[in-house]
Amino acid sequence: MNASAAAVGSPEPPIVSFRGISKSFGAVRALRDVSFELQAGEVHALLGQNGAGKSTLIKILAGVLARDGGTISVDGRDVDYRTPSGARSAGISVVYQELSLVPSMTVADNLFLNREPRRFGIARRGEIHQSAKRFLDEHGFHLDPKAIVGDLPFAYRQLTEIAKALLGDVRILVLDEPTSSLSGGEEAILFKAVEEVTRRGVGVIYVTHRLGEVFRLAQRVTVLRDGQNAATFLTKDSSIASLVSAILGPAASARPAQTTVPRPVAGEPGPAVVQLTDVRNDRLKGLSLSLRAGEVVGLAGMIGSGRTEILETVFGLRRAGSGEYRLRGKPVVLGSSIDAIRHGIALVPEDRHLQGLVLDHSIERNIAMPRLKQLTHFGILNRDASSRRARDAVDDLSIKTPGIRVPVRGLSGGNQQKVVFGKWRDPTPAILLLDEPTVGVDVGARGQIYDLIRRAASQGSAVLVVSSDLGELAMLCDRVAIVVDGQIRSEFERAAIESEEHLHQLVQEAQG
Amino acid sequence: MDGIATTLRARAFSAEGLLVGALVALVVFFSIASPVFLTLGNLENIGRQTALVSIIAVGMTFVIVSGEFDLSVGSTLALAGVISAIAMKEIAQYAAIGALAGLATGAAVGLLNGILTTRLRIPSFLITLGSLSIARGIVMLITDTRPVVITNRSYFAIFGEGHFLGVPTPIVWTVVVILGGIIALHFTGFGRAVYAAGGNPTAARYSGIPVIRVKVISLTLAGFLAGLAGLVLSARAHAARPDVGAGLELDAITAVILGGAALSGGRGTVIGTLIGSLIIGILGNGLVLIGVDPSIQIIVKGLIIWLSVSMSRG
Repeated sequence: MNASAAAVGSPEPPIVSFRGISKSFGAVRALRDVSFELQAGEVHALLGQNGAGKSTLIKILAGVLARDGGTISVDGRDVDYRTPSGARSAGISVVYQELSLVPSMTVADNLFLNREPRRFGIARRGEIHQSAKRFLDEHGFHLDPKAIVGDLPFAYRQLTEIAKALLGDVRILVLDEPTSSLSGGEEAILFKAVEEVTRRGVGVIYVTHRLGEVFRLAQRVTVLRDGQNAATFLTKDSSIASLVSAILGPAASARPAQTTVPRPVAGEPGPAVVQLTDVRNDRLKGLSLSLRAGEVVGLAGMIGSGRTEILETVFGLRRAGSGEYRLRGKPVVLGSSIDAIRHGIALVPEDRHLQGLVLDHSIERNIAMPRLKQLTHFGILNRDASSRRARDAVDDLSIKTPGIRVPVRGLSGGNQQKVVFGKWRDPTPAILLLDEPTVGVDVGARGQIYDLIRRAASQGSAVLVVSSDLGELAMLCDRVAIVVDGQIRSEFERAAIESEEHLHQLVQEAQG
Repeated sequence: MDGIATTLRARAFSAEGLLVGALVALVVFFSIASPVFLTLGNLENIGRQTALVSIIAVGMTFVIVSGEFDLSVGSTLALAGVISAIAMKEIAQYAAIGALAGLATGAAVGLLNGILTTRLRIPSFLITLGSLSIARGIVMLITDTRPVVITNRSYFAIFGEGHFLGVPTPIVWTVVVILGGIIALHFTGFGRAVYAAGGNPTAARYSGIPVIRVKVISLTLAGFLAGLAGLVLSARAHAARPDVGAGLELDAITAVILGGAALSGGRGTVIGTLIGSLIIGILGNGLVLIGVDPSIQIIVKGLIIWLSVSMSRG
């Protein structure tokens, strides 16, 4: 395996090639005649909207699903594994969005889970820790092997998962939206790790919704649409615009998702609605921030910098501690989210599965949750009003669903996120807090969510948005505040931010 | 995606359908197997026998849907009956005094369960395992393990032996509790909050639902209804016995789970629970009528639990 032979278009046989793969679920044809190949040492991005067939393709590669037709070959030899362990012994390792770690165990124990006996005879903790530490250091993962996985922030759990996938004899690494909840710093670590493994001749299939990453990492990109190959590009010959039109297809390409959102109108923000002055609690260290009606303010910063905690403090989930919290000029003490909601504050939380939705409950039930008080008269719930509210949300947010009684678990990520927005739609919240609002959301739905955010602001909501996608902040916000160590380190008006790259640079500078 | 949703719904319907089907099958089977089964007297019998479990199981439905558990209801029932009897004996011979004392005792045990489990953040399974033992111990202590005799006739009439519109009062109370439970769980904002708190407490909290209060109220309700069951039982026996109610919590939990509730919370219905409790009651009654050995009856009950649970979980 010669790493320098990784150049795209080399005559080397691909390490993996799919030809004419098809797969149906009942009447639904998830994949039709899809082909895909991966060279050693290459990063090949796989793009497409939710439901385009990416996950199905990945699951077939991982041996989780059996294909209906077509051939898969590894190193030029046809293979016919039908189990995950078969895929694993063909050298294929997949990191899914849902993590597969044991939360109560340490990072090191998770890395060597089920591999300890073969390597060490008896699982010897000291040795496991040492090997884990060596491995993590070599690959540039800033992880403490002794940390309990369940105590780690989500981003670090994901890094652990990726590290675990890299252990052993991996030839083909599949990353399914690995950066969806990573921020600047961790992204860089992940990218470095990816470069490291490709240098060793491993091929990486990189599934993502973030187009910017494609250009930073991948040599080639394949777009799936409606279960078929839409296009395969060399990234150096393509542009964001051509990718977006390939993803959305001819019908929708008139609407390039990230850029049609109306740019905010500069100036004329309303009166200050939220004012935090020198707020200190366990995570905030003298935070001052003000937010005006009709304004979209972004919070940028590393994971763990305190961005989410700012939202939680405004939402009453954390005490403002010492310092002052004013709403519409009046000092307040919020004891809980109930108080916050009473003041017209809404939160779209970071993790919609854990914090935003009851997955097994219907759209209607989920959307009613924050408004049970208004929907209840003398104790009795007005079911008609609640159904109407849910139907309005489905129509207004174009949530794709057969009906409002459907459990949200069956919806795509983008549609689930729209349900979370739908919870807070009526009445329009005075203060809208958004934590990573487009994580795991496909390009089409992303554009709609941006529209929603801008619309809320134009209707007078004060919007505070945390995002690790700096392109999103640069596009969406009137003002971006950079959070470092529980404080606002610096603030920039829209006019002062030239581009996503410039914002990246500003965030990096703020760390110093 | 739509396919998944439809299948899920279809499965939910078929699980409910299965439950009703099982109930009907049991009735048909025992009607054929025993000439006594389908007589008015025996049906009334079944009604009385299932009354206790049904009343307790309605409270248990709220607790389980809210994501909690209550093992203490059997002991609470005994404590409420005993306190009720003692109150009438020591304070005044009014049925109202006895009722108030019994219901308040039940609610107080439930409230204590709720406060302890939410404040100490200890699973309610463990907290109520403790109260199961403590309440039973208090009962034995204050009664010296002897029954407390009740002599109040209106008390018997209201809770145990009377009739209302020709229906025995225990059955009337059961119907009242079930209707009340259906309204509270399925038609009120509070009911929605119970589902949300059990389905995903974090998401519920982030949506402004007072999760802790909802759980405390659910546990208090379960205690209150255990208290009511205690009154019904002691009114029927003309005495509050210290050893009653042991194992009743398991029957109630079985009824709720048979009725389609998820042990993890967020799912379940009062009607399902009623059907579950009827299945248990009819099975017990029918097996006695056709002369099945009591040991075999218990085994059959266990098998039914396995069967129904494995079917509804697919």
